[in-house]
Amino acid sequence: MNGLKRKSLGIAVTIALTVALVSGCGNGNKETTVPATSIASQPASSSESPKTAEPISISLMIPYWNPEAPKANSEVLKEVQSYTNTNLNISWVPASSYNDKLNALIASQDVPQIVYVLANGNKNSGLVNAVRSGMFWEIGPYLKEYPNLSQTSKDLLKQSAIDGKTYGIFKSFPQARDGITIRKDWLNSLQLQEPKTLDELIHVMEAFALQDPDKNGKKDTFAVGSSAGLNGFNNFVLYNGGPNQWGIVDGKITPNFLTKSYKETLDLYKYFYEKNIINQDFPSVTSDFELFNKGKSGMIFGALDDIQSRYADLYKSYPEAELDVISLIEGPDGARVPTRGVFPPQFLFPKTSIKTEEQLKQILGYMDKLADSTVQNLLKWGIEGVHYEVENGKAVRTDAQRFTQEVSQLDFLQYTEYKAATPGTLQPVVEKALKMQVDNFPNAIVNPAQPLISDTFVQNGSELDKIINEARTKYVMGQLDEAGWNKAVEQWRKNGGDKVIAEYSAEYNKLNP
Amino acid sequence: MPSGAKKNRFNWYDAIVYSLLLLFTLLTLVPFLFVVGGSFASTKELLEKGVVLFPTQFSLDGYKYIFSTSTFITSLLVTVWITVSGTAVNLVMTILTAYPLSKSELKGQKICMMLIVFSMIFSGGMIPTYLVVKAFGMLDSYWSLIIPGAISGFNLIVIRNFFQQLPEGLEESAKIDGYNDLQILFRIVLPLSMPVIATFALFYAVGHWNTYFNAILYITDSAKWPIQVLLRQIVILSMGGIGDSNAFDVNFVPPAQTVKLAAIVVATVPILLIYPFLQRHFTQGMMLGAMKG
Repeated sequence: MNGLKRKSLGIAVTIALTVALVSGCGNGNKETTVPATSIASQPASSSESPKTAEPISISLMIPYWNPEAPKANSEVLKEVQSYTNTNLNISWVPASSYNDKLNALIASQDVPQIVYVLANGNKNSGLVNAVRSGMFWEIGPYLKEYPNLSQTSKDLLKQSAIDGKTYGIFKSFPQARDGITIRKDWLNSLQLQEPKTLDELIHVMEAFALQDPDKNGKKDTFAVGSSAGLNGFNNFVLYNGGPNQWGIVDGKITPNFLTKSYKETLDLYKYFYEKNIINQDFPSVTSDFELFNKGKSGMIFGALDDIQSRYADLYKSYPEAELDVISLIEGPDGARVPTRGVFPPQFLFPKTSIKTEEQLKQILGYMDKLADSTVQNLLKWGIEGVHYEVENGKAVRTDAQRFTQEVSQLDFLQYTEYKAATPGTLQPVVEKALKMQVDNFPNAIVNPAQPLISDTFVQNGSELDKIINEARTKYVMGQLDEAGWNKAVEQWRKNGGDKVIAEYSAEYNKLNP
Repeated sequence: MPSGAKKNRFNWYDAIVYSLLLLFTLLTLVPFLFVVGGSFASTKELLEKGVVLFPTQFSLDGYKYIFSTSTFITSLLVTVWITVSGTAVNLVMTILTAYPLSKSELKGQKICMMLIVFSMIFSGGMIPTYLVVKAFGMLDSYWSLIIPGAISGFNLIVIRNFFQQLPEGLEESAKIDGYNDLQILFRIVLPLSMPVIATFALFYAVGHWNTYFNAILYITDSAKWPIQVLLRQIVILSMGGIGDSNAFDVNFVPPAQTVKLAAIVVATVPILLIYPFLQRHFTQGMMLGAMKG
């Protein structure tokens, strides 16, 4: 009896285990040469114009920022594929968890053939280690063989190199992207001129906070509605003559908070806080846009191109609002604007999935074709007659919602600035903002640490930043005096900051002998 | 708190307990009311007030936006499917494992229990798990969300302890009547264990309903993603995104606040509706399943 019992118990356990195994394998996809691609997103083979060569299959991993991923059967993608003669297997990953997925795939050696890396990718330890271990193709030497890729700016390639070598094709963002977006109607209602110098700027900020620019009889406005990141702080460091995040002091790469200009900016923000020129609850606010879009603050320091779309909420509540953009503010050292100062997003090419040089060249060929005007138009505007019409040589968007759903995210396949695409009709202020970004670039202040990698910073960078950011917040709120601030800086130095300085400096001197 | 100590009929102790309970109820209820209220408010009102419990202008814009594409519905269906089938697999596996392990005469029972406890304390981590899922060919299939967590060690131990408390005599007499082990399990033990099973069904179901990260990790086909992926993306984007605006594209438009709230409502209400049906088993089940020596 006992024997019987034991047997059937054993059977029960066995059944449980077999169910697990069978169901696991029941759906097993055949291992393809390219793992981690979606079966369902195989595009229908286009039976249009017979091509001489078979289309090349390429797998990509690309982030998206919309609520939903772009559809695999999108008409625009079909056009792109037929033009470039490829079958694109794109796995779209929500940007909100992109790095986690990327790190997991890198660790399990299971990456697609083209990998998009988010901005500041060279500070992502998983990726840095993978690059250093030789997981990715160094593509620098190949670029000259391609008509479009060979045009890439040498300076920017240097800025986006890892250990001085080019592994990726960087995505062009306007480098001198930042400036000030300001409520023109507030300036008018207070009869103020557009600020051109640091003193004028501070004066306007005081007026925005204290003189009731929206004429509602309440003292409820701020100059800057800041989040915990202290909106505009870095710009003021620059206006005061300081570096863009990191600078070169006595031949060493030094963080901006060790400079006099930073100290001046700290005191300036402390004054802003005392006088209610910035919002009192900034440490708990998550977005710099919140108060601005509520019509409660008059300025945002940030990407100038945001003026195209990020202030829609403001216009909904205040149709009379009028925005303008400013970028050059004269400080003691002249007018200074920052470059973005962070590593650009890049497309990388792993050796684990691109086995031969032959294959790499084909894939680079696809990248090269993306810069042709046909593809630029597709990715920027969509399909003519569906998403846009051409009037007098300029593209006019016909259906904004359809564009957002079907085209807007495809931009992440593209790396160029759309210089070869049909020009669009833009509002004058947007034209002005985009022109500013181009004009400011030649003289913009770069961050010398941008292309450098410090292992210590890769490991504990976020903790180090936290020390300084907390101290900065406390200082601005008056909870920390000069001695306390200096103590925080000491702590930063001790916890690895000095090492970071040494490592960055050594790297810098190695790359710039 | 005023303390005019009055005797008889008015019990201070009860008053304090009930007011605390009321306070905690409000603490949990008000945020939820805000989400529901805000989802029916217009963007403008939300922007101006920040918190809207009862919108003055009733608007369905948030819901219109969500249901303007089929994606929301399909991913909701995906989640329902994963929850139903996943929970079924969970229960079958957990019960079939727990029942034999509740018998001390099973050979190797001790070792099995030790291994299970060990797996509760030490896990392989994300990458090894990913490699296992990949090796079994489960990538890009719903199984990857169902099989790897099919048995939760903790739940298994609680259910096993419950089985151990069932009177021996029941099973003995069933045996004498000629039942074999499986018949005993399905006809005697399970009907007696309904409260416990209902409780853990709910635990497992909520877990599946909230599946998010594994789906991102194992599934590349966006048509197979559960609702939480979409929800998180909407919520994070409408908060102004992740990190610095440098990562954003030039044409980026964050979705409106109302959309975020409406998405939360649509994604949480279905699982909330399951609670009342299991409520009566729930309290009972937790008590019975509690460890007793």
